[in-house]
Amino acid sequence: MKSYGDPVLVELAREAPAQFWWRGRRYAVTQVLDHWLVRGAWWDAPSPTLDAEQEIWRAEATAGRSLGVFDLCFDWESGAWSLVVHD
Amino acid sequence: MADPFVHLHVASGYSMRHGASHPGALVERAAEHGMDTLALTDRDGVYGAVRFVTACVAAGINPALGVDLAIGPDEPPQVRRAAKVERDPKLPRATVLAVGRTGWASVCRLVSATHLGGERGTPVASVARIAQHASSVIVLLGPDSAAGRLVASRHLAAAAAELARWRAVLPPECLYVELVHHREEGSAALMRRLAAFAAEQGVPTVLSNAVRFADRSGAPVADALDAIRRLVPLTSRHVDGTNAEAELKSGKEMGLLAEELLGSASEARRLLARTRAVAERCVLDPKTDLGIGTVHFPELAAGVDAARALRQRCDAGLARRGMGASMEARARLEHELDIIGQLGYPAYFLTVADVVDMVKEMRIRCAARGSGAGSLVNYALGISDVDPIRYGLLMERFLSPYRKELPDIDLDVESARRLDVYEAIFDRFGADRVACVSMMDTYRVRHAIRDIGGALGLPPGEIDLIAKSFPHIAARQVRDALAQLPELQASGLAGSPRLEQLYTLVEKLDGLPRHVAMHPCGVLLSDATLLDRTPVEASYLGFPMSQFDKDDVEQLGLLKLDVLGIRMQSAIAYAIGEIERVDGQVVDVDTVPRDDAATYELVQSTKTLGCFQIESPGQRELVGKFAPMTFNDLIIDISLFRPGPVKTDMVTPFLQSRHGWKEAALLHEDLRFALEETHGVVIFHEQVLQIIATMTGCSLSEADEVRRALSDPEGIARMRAWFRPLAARRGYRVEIIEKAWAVLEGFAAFGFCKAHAAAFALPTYQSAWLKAHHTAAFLAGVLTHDPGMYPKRLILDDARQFGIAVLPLDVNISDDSYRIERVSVYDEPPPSILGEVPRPVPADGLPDARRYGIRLSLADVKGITDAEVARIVAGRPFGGLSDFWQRAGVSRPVVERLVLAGGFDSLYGIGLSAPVRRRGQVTRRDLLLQVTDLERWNDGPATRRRRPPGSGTAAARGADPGISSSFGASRSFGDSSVGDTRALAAAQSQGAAPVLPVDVQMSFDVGPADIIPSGLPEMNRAERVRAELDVLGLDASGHVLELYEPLFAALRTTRAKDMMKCRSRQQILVAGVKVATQTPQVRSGKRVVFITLDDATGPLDATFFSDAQIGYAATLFHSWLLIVRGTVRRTGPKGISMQAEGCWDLTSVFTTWRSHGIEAVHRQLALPADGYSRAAIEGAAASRSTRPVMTEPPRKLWHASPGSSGG
Repeated sequence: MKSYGDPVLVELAREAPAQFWWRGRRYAVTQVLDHWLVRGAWWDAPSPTLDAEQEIWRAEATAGRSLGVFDLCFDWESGAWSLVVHD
Repeated sequence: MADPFVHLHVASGYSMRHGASHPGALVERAAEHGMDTLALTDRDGVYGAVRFVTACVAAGINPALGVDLAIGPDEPPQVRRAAKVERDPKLPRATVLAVGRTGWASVCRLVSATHLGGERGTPVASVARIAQHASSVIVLLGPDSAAGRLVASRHLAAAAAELARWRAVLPPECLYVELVHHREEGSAALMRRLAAFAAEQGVPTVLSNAVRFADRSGAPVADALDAIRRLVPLTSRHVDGTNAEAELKSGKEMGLLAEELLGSASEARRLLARTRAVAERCVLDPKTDLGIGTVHFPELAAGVDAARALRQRCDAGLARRGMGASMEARARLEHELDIIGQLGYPAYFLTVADVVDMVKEMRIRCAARGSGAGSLVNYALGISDVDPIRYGLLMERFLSPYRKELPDIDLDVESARRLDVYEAIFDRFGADRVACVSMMDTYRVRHAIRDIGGALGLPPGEIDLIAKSFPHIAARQVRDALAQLPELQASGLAGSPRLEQLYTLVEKLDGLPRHVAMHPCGVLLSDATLLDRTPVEASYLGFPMSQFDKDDVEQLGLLKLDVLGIRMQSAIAYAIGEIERVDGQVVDVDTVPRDDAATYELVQSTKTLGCFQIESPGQRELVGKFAPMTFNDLIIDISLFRPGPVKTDMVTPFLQSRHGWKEAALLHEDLRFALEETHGVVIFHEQVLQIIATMTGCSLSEADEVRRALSDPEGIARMRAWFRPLAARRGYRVEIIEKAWAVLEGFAAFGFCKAHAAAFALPTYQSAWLKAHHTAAFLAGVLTHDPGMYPKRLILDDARQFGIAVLPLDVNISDDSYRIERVSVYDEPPPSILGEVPRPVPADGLPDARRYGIRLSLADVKGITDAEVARIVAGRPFGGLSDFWQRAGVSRPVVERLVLAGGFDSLYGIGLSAPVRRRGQVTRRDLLLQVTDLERWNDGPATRRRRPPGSGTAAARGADPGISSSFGASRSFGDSSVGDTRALAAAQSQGAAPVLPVDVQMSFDVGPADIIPSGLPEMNRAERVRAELDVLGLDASGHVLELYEPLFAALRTTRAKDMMKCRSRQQILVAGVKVATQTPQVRSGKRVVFITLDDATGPLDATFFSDAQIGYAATLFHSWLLIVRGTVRRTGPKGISMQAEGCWDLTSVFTTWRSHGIEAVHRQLALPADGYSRAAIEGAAASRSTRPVMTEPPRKLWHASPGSSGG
């Protein structure tokens, strides 16, 4: 994993990511490999909130010649997207 | 809009520490989605089935039932007892659904076999086990099944073999692969593989959501339950779910999941249709399939007509009771038999009579309690012993043609023999017709805090403090309690985010089941199909126990008999035995006349400690004011002393009329017959029934329906509209009607069933009779069986007040119980020679029991085991300490305690308190040294491995808990049926085996030479009392307060015996040992604390209102010896109590007095009180219950005690 939790701008189509902009480049999603929901370790969090949940799409995406696998994470509490890259 | 999807795999909170929602919440959710069918498949049992089905019926949903079982190998590994390292072995699981009535029977029997087949508490089924109960069931194998897991790990061949095992034992079309998609990482791919695998194998698939909670908010609870189940703090590793998807989703959402998985709308539709088809097969009919609303009594012998048999037995019974010729009795019997016949309950009464006869044949005391005493049939059958005609008791309050519910008869038996009764019932009716009833222990605030606190990883000390700070309330009230209770507000237990998390989860655990236990008294009796209708598992003591609780079994129409163990019955039986043993007199308390003057004189004297129902401070005050003179008075007394009558002050008008200070108001001459006995005050339900029936002309059964309706406002309005015109038509004037209605409305809710009170009054009378005529034997029974609310030391002090000698512990005489002995009226030698006070002559009118002594019991020696007691009793007489050491096989600490408590005094002539000791006299201290020598000698090199004989015998081992009992049932794994559930359950017993009689060697080599006096001083009187309190929990040789007498004289405290001489509003100081505190819930929220002190001349009661508690709470709740200041409150000729203003710790006041004199004491008592402390918070919470909290001597009593010299 190269980077973790970088902010990212995502555009959805049919309730799934279609393209995103990261570090100034546009990536087109070619395939969604997996899609899941995960709750954080709420017991480690300092807040009394118990229902924070993230929705994650594992997507294959291209920007020009480079092809990669990315995890696009949507945090339902903050409404923010972040990104994890798989080598 | 109807939602066709059906959830087939749903866990409720009855899947203990797994499911997070109540069955009702799941049903409600399904109804919101518009679903028409829902299944409940709890883990390891069907505990929630009846509640679930009831909720389904109410919501118009078709129920389906099944069970989710752990699946182990067909041949379980041989018993591994100790090695329970793995808390949750994560065995593969399978879901078994019932199809129709046969399927439900299969599921019930499968669950029983699974529970009884392995280790108690860890039910594991197997394919072979399921094969034995496979008729009309459907099995779902999901991702958590062995096959599912093999597919996940890509061992497809093994998965196919696993599937083949199931296919081989199940009928066709009964095996399904269950797809569950919780949208976890990788789960979609896995489900696609599982679906493909199923298709390849030709096994159809269904879609479920393996539901664990009704909606997403249950997810954190499920996480916490995972950690709680595994006894670890929450970490990602220990949580089964990674998100909140295991909720009861709508059909639409399930459809989307199916499409997401299968990638094709048509395939998804087919999957959902298959799921629906399975569900339709599994729908159960509550009545025909489950038996809800039907009744099942034990079968009678072939050819016996129940109604005729019942009539014959009743006729014989009436004749035996001498009522055969009474027309009134005959007519009443006809009427009752008629109603019983109409309802179809003759077999019920015959069964209960059978049980009662059997218990009586075993010579065990047995009495019916409750409204059943109102029935003449019960009286004739010998089930009840109170004549309902004589005392105006009505059958209609017990059994009514308008209520199709099974009547409830409770039997009180001797507590010490309750389990013998259970065994006998199992023997008599057979284990396929009998089971105990279970009881679901649910989360309340303290347990919830402990479990959630542990899951959140809070420090154990902190969890303990928080949990103890709360009163015993429901978990959902946790925040209310925080806001309302002053101690908690001051404590800083709110605010931090961590604690907020804690309280949020605690609220969510509210009422979820946490533990199933045997109901303390319920026994199910049914016909041979019982085990088709309820699964059983082993209780802690190895009885087969239904998975249903008392409400469930009632719904299922199973006859439940409550067999309650009553300590008072054991105490009475014990007293009768002692009278026979010592006096050679056979007493039958059941037939003594109920108008004995000496008995009522004792009751009126208020010296009723130990007597059933009338020993509490409040009751002693009431009997003092009321002065009962007849059995009927006792019934009234018991009915008056209840929250309702006390709160609405029915007591005052009653007593005013009773004592002739006010004329009784009888409403109308027609009602004289019903109201005269209580001087016009309506106390009994029976009177309410008579008023209604007399004034409206309706039957008593109808009147009871009216009474029931009066419990809610809507019913009151309805009944008022019904009552007034009917009464007017019968010619009653409007004022009378209005007055009568006001009485009915006011008292209907508070009244008490007279039959119930009459049943209670019987042991009350019997215990008072025994106390009046056989005081020593009765109190020995009370000391042995401890039936009441007071600590034993107070009962012992009560014995002293009747002149009874308290005889010290003696290893050669003391038994496993408190025995009575004949002594001479005057002590020998005369106590004056020894400088002691002679035994007091009992006060006028009280029984004189100076001819008797009570010998202290070995059983109360701290730490002694039943086996040790048995060996001491078997090995007597002992010639000396070393003889005892060698033969009795008693552990060293217990021998030391026996020495300290004087158990060897008589062997060594250790005088009680001779002022001058003979030279060369052995002392208890010498004996203690000897114990050390004996132990050293035993552990010497030559005999290193020698243990005291006997300590390794079977009996000693048997007394250790955790070793299975000697019921001798063989474990029958994998046999073809459940077998005898009684034997299987007994094999899982966790209780201690009974102590068997022992042979003790009668001679032994002597060991070290016997005792040589060392010149150590003997223990003085104070030290002896201290040692007795420490070892026995009682002060036997003297009262603990004796040491403080000089202080009491200096302070001029008032003694209990002199309280009656006090003026009202007089300010007094009292001192005593705290024996009880009681803090009833008061609606105003202002706490009232009642305390009872013992000051060696009798009990003293004081009341702390909330303003008096400020600053004194810590002392009040935590000191054992107290000085209390307060004002006298007179409530009647013999009624007196004290309103407290402050309290102080006696030992600290004593210290002040010794070192600084009486002026300093007065200064100390004048100081303002301290504020709240942590001790006050804990003490307040502990005492906050409606029952009294008994106070036992604290372990560290003597940190500031008087008179310590060389102790």
